[in-house]
Amino acid sequence: MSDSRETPRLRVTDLTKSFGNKMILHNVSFQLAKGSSLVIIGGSGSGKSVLIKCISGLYALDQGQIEVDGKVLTSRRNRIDAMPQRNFGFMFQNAALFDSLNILENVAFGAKHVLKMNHKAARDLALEKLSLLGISRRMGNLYPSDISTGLRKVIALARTLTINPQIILFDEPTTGLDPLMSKKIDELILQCIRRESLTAVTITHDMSSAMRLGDKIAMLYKGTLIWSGKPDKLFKTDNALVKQFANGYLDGPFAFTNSP
Amino acid sequence: MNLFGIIGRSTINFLEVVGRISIFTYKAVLSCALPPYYFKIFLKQIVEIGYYSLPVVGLTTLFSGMVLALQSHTGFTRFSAEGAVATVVALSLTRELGPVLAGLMVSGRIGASIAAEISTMRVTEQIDALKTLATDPFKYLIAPRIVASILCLPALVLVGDLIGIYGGYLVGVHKLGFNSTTYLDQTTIYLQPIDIISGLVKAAVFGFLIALMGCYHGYHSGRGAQGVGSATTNAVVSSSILILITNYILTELFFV
Repeated sequence: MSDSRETPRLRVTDLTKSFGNKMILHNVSFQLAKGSSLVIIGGSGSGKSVLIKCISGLYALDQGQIEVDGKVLTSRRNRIDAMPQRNFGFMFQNAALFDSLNILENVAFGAKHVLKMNHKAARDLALEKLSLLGISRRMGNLYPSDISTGLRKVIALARTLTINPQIILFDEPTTGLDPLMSKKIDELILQCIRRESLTAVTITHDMSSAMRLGDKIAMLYKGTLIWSGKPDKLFKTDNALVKQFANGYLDGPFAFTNSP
Repeated sequence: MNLFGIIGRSTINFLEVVGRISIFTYKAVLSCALPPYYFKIFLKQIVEIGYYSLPVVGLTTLFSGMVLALQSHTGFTRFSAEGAVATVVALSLTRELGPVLAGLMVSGRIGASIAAEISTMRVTEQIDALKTLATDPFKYLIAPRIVASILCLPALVLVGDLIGIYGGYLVGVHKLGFNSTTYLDQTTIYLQPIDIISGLVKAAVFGFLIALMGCYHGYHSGRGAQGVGSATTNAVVSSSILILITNYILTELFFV
């Protein structure tokens, strides 16, 4: 899934993951060049979140391999080595800001713990990232419970960017937001990806967001990647499953699942 | 399912829980011993566990000391042993009541709070976020709470012992008519260092158990509000039961 002939920034090969007897992901493979953005769409329970949690190292793989710049990251136990070595950033669906820390401390957290900066340098970097995303300095003293869901996602983006990742994983970044806020978050994500030449993997079932964010779109269905292509090809595809999902038709071959 | 099936399934489930707790305990102890250390979080926990538990522990031991003086006086008058009231109050508090009551009260207050906080972090993916920011949740969340609890419980018990003995003194002198000097003499005369030390060692063990159970049930909580609720209840129940069992074992080790 990479246009470039050079070594891809991220390569996922035959990733397989089960929980108990239930297979969640089956031989998922793709690769991404530096600075490209892949959006993975799919229904609830299709394995999207599990996929990026496997890539990030939060879940061990049952089988498969993950490479960054040609270097294999998966260890013998199929669990990926420590996050900072891989320069991965992860933005969680519900932002996952630390309740006990204020906004500035949340954003500075990565600078302190990943980049090992001292208190002042981490704080300065956090203020710089907040300012880049249009967050004023005085908001730094507020706590996550004091701010809106949309703003929490912006802060989560700032926290992720603070560790200067090469690859950034977005878990449904616009879920639960109104259309305007969704667009604003997408714009901020795009700006960051372009400004810092980040490689991004986004999972979503928000089609507008997918069209805005992806250089490429892939669809995951029952744990298997069934389609991938440019965004403009998505609505023209002959694949009945993709067509039904992208257009939001209730009638068609798409099997709805109740699994989490 | 037949009887053997039920027994087999229950045994496997029990062993699974024991195994999971053992692995968790091993990782938690290792995290306490190895760097990095998070001193700021540790100090915050000292205030939370030690300072804020003081009123609860103080009140519990105060009234326990007072009741103990009253009850032992009522009983001892039946065989003319009223003179032993002060000694019984001091020995009971330092050896048994101080650590056990403080342990149970702190278990209700701190064990529940630790479990609720960590399980909420689990449910809202904050623990996963810590991992993605190169921070080991065992070192950042669990180790500071366990070490703070181990250190705070003996301090709380020491203060609780003094307050409880003072409660006994108040009732003995002002209600039962004991001479103040005689009461104080009777309090200290039979009290040996082992009585106090055993209580403090018990307190440290109880502190470990309270924090460990709070962290364990919080860390392994289920999803949603129900998961948080169950984690809190399980933390308090399991640490309370463990305190009572461990108390018997330690008493036998110290005094038999």
